[in-house]
Amino acid sequence: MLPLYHVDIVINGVLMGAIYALIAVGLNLIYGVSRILNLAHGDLLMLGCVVTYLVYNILGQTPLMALLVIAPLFFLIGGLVNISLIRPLMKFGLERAAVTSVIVTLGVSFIIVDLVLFGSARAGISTFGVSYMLPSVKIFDIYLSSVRLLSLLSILFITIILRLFITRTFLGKKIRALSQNREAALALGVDDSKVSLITFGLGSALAAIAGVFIIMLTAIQATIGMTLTFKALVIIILGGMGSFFGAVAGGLLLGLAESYTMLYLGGMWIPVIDVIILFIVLMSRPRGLFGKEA
Amino acid sequence: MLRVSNLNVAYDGIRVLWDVSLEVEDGRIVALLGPNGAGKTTLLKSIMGLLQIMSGRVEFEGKIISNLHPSRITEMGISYVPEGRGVFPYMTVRENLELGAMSKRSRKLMQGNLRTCYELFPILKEREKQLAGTLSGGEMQMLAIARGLMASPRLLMVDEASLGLAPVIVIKLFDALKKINARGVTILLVEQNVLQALDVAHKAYVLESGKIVLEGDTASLKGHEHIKKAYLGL
Repeated sequence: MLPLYHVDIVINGVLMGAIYALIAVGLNLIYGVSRILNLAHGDLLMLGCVVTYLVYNILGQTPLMALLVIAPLFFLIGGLVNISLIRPLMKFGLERAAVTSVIVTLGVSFIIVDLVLFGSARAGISTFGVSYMLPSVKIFDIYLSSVRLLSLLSILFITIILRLFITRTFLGKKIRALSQNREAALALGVDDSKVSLITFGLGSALAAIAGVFIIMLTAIQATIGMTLTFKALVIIILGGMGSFFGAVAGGLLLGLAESYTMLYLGGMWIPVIDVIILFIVLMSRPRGLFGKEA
Repeated sequence: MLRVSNLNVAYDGIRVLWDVSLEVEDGRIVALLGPNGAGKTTLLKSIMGLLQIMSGRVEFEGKIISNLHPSRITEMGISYVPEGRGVFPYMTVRENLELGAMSKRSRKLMQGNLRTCYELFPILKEREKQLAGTLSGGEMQMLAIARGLMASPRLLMVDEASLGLAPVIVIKLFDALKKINARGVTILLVEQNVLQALDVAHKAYVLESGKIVLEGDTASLKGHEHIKKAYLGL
């Protein structure tokens, strides 16, 4: 039988993977609907960590309570970014907007990071972390961290709700219609700017929610965002552009692989393993695990 | 019902339509014919608000609709069935149809319209729960047309319905279009399949290199020298 510590490694891997999946699903939604790659996605996540940090350390509320504030707050922030910066680009047509938006969202990323760096330097903080603990639970002779289990359950719950929203509601169907065949969706009268606004809000909220779970696992720095944006990109490509299950599968695969890399090789090998996995998957399935259209 | 006057449209800076005028009368089937690249699809897209109009005017039931947002134009009663069977491949047949009913008014009429669609195309009822991407070419085209009907349009614009389909299927599709027309829906049909189109339509326009070069009722066009030579190979 495998040593018991594997249970811990697997749980960590699955939790990290589930968090990655949240990040990737949000980025994927936005990309699918407006063909815009939001390079500030990971920085919105970082901002979500910072808000959790403030809520925990200043207001004394638990990170899970912070979720209730963070979800609507970042929905609004994402919506504002969409209205003020993305919508004006759409006037130039989708293709040109897709290119210019890279510059614009990169700018948003810099602004967010610099504001946080500036603020935290003045307050004398270099890393953001919360020391939120709950008593462990014992299952079959193994002690498991209840914070991690609770996080895992919450993410599972959020993912199911999100999936139901996308498949069952009319708005969700419009979102899928726009990503599967934009022209046909427009011809049917889908109001793309409204749907794009809502998806941007939703994607940003998902990123910030992922931030709440990350800061419960580990302390973060203000510069963590871009790394996570790229990780989400790798996951989307791994799982297949525009595929919901692809993002979830890609996230879990990467999370588990990284967890074992950490155990056997050490943390510095994680980026290498990420690239090797991406390479192997794309060699055998060029459109990703659940990839559909070209 | 639909009147297009002196329409000029450019696509990516290249002029595609030159002073195009046409009229679709209530209750009729009008065909728009012409070779590849003549600007037929561009014309439909401009009417639908999917492309920006440079100059000229589009009127629908007496109201000017030039450059309105497509969602407004659908609400007013025009449906566009895009070329290449633009269905949503990873959604079920039923979901595709539901998305056809975008406006509040058509959402209220959804159940009745679904029934009408399934009567016209019984195969869609059978395939209701199947993903649209798994349908055959003919079935996808039926789905695209049915989806257009879900908006309860008064004018249905169909772009190249027969493209790449077997002749038997094409005959079925044109039959269905006739039935739809008999139910009071006016139809503007873009076609390269000239013979069939002239059979089903009351009136036709011929678009070449972005200009209307011929127009008239189909009976007289069938005998026209230019049509015979260039399109029917006689």
